[in-house]
Amino acid sequence: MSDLLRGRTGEWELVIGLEVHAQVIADAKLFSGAATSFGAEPNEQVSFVDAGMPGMLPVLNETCVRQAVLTGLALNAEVNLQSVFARKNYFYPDMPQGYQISQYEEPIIGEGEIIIDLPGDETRTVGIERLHLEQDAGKSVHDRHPKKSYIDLNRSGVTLMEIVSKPDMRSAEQAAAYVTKLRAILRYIGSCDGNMQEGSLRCDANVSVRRLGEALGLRCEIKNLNSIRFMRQAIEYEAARQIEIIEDGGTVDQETRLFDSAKGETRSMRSKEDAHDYRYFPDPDLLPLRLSQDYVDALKQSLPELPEAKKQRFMQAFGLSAYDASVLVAERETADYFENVAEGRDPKLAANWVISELFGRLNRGEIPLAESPVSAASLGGLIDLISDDTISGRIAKDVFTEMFDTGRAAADIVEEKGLRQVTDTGALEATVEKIMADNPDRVADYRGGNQKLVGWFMGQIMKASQGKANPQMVNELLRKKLAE
Amino acid sequence: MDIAVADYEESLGGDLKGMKIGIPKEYRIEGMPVEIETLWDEGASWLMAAGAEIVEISLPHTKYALPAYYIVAPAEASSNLARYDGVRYGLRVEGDTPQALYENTRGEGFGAEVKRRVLIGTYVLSAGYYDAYYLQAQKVRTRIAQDFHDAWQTVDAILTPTTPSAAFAQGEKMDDPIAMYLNDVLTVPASMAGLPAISVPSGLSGEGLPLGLHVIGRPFDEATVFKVGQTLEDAAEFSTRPRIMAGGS
Repeated sequence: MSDLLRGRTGEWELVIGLEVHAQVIADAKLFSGAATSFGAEPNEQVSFVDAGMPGMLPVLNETCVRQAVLTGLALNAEVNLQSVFARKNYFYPDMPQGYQISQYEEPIIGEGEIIIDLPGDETRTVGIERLHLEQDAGKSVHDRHPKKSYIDLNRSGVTLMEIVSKPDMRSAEQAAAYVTKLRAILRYIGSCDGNMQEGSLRCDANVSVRRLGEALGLRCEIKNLNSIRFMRQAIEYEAARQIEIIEDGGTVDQETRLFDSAKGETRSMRSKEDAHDYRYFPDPDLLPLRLSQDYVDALKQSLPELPEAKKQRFMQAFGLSAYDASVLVAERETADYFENVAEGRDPKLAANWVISELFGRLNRGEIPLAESPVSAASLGGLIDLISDDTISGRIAKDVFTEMFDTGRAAADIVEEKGLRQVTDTGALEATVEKIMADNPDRVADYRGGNQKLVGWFMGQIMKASQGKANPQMVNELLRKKLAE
Repeated sequence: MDIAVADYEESLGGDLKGMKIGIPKEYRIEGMPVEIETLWDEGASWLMAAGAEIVEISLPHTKYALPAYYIVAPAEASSNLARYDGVRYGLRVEGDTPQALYENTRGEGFGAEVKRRVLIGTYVLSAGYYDAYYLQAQKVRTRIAQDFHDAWQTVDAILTPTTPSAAFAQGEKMDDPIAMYLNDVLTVPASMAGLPAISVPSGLSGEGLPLGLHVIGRPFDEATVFKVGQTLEDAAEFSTRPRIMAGGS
C-alpha cells in the first residue's frame, strides 16, 4: 500500500513525528500534595508550591515516577536508572515559578517502540525516542474581562509524561493509529485516562515532506491537537501546504503552527527566529532521580497483559482475524468482556456477536460498555441457545434486540415468545409438503430444471413457520422432496 | 537522603580530645591582614588547648571556588527570582502587555546588585555559553567537593577565618563587585561542596569591627561543627556589642 502523496511535479513522502503529552493518573501533583481532579472550581487545587510562593520547595511524588516507569516498560523502552529534573525558564502568566520543571538531557525513559495496527491486517513499528516527566502549566482565561486575563492554577504542577516518537510515520492514518495504540497502552496500565476532550492527552505533530530517497525536509510543528480527527486534518492540510510551497519553488519555514479546527487549516504561531532560549539547567532544588534495578524489575512483573500481546493471543488461541482481535483489545474492558463471552463457547461466534451486534448497538446509542444492558454472561446465554439449535441465528438477532431494550435473559424471551426453533422432522415435513402442494406450477418448474427456485421455497417455508423452522433441516427436506 | 537529625545539644560541652582539626594552607591568602592571621593562629591554639590536634591540610582547588560560585549562584538566582513577575504577589507595576508588566515590575522592584546577578545568571545559562560557564563551574564544584572529601580522611573539622578582611561599609564596593565578591572567598568553598559550616565572632579588628572564625564539618555532621564552634566561643569570650544594641549613640 503506497502512502505517497501526489503533487503537480511528482510523488512526495510525508514524514511525521509525534509528541504526546499524557496527564499522569495520580491523586496529587508532580511536586506538591494538591489534588488533580478534573472540573474543580478555579484555583481550588493549588498548593503554595504550585503558586510559586517564595521559599516553597518541590518534593517528588513517587506515584508519578512509578507511572512513568510502568509506561516505559509497556513501550518496551529502556528505563534510565538515573534521570535529572531540569528547569525550562520562560515567562508566562500561567506559569507561576517562571520556569517549568521538566527533564531535558537525562529523561527517565529512553528508546522504545509501539506496534501500530493498520487497515488490511497490516502492522508497523514506530520508534519511541524518549519519555520524560514534566509539570503542566496553569490555564489563562481571556474571555471574562475586556482587558484582563484570569488565571486558573488548578492544572499548574499536574504531572505530564511527554512521549516523543521517532519520525517513523508516513501518513495521517499511521499517526492516528499511533495515537490510538498509545492511548490503549496507557489506559491498559492505568497511567493516563487518555481523555482527549478533557485535555488529558494532547498531541503536537512534527510534519515535513520530501521526495522519495531524499534527506528529511524542513519541518513544522503543529501544536496542541486535542482530537485524533483534528490531528489527521491538520497533518493532511499541512502536507498539502508544504508540497505546494516547494512545487512553487519556495522553501518551507521551520516554525511552530496552530491548527484552526473551524477553518480546517494551520497557521503560523512563531518562527524559528522567535524561538525562546529556555536556559535549561538541572533544578538545584531536586537531586538526580535514582532508581534501583529491583524497583524496575518489580514493576515489570506487575504489568498486565498489554494490547499487542493480547491481540496475538486472541489470534492464536481463538483463531480470530487480526482486525477482530485488534478491535477487541482496543480497551481492556472490551477484551475482558469478550473473554467472558467466549469462555467455553465458539470464540469466533462470540467475537462476531460482540463486535457486530453489541458494539453496533452501543455505538449507535453512544453507551459505554460498562453501562451495557446486556452483560457478558447474558450474551453468552444467547450464544448457547444458538449453539444448541434452540433458536436460529436470524431469530437470535431479534432476541438480542429485545435483550438490549429490556435487559432480560435470552432464554426467558425465547420461552415467552415461543421462539424455539422447530426441529421436529414431522412438523417440518408437513410444512414443506403443504407449500409444495399449494404451488404445483413452481414444483414442476423446479423439476424442469429451474434449480434456483429452491431459494423461493425456502423463503415461503420460513415465512410459514414465522422464522422458527431450522433452516438446515428445511433445506435438506425440501431438496429431498423436490427430487422425488 | 534519609538521615535522622542528631540531638545537637547533646554533642556540646566536653573537650576535643582525639579530634583532628585541619588548617588549609591555600586559605592563607596573599595580602590578608596580619590581625586576621593572628586571630586564626589564636583560634588554633584554643582548640589545641581543648585537646584537639592541629593538622595542616591542602585543598588545592580553593582558588577556583570563588569564580565558580559567582557563576552558579547568579544562575540559580536568575531562575529563582523569575517568580517575582508582578502576576501573583508582591510589587506590581502595571503595563499594557504581560511583557510590559514583567519589565516594569522587575525594573522597579529589584535593586542594582540583584539586577547584576540576574543578568550574569541569564548570560551563563544562555545557549552557547552554558557549556563554557555553568557546566564548567559545576565540574569545578565537583573538584572542590573532592578536595574536602580527601581532607575528611585525616581531619574531623576545618578551621579558617570567616573573611579576609573586616566588614566594609554598606554600598562601599558597589562599583567594584569583584572586590566585594572577594570577601566571600573563604566561605564559598564549603557552600560549593555542600558542607555545614559556622562563623563564630572571635575578635576585633584594629578599627573595632568584629572578626570571625569559621568551622567547616563533614556532610551532615553539624554536631561537630557546633561542638568546635562552642569551644571557640567560650575561649574568645567575645562580648562586644554594636553601639546600637549596647545602648550607645
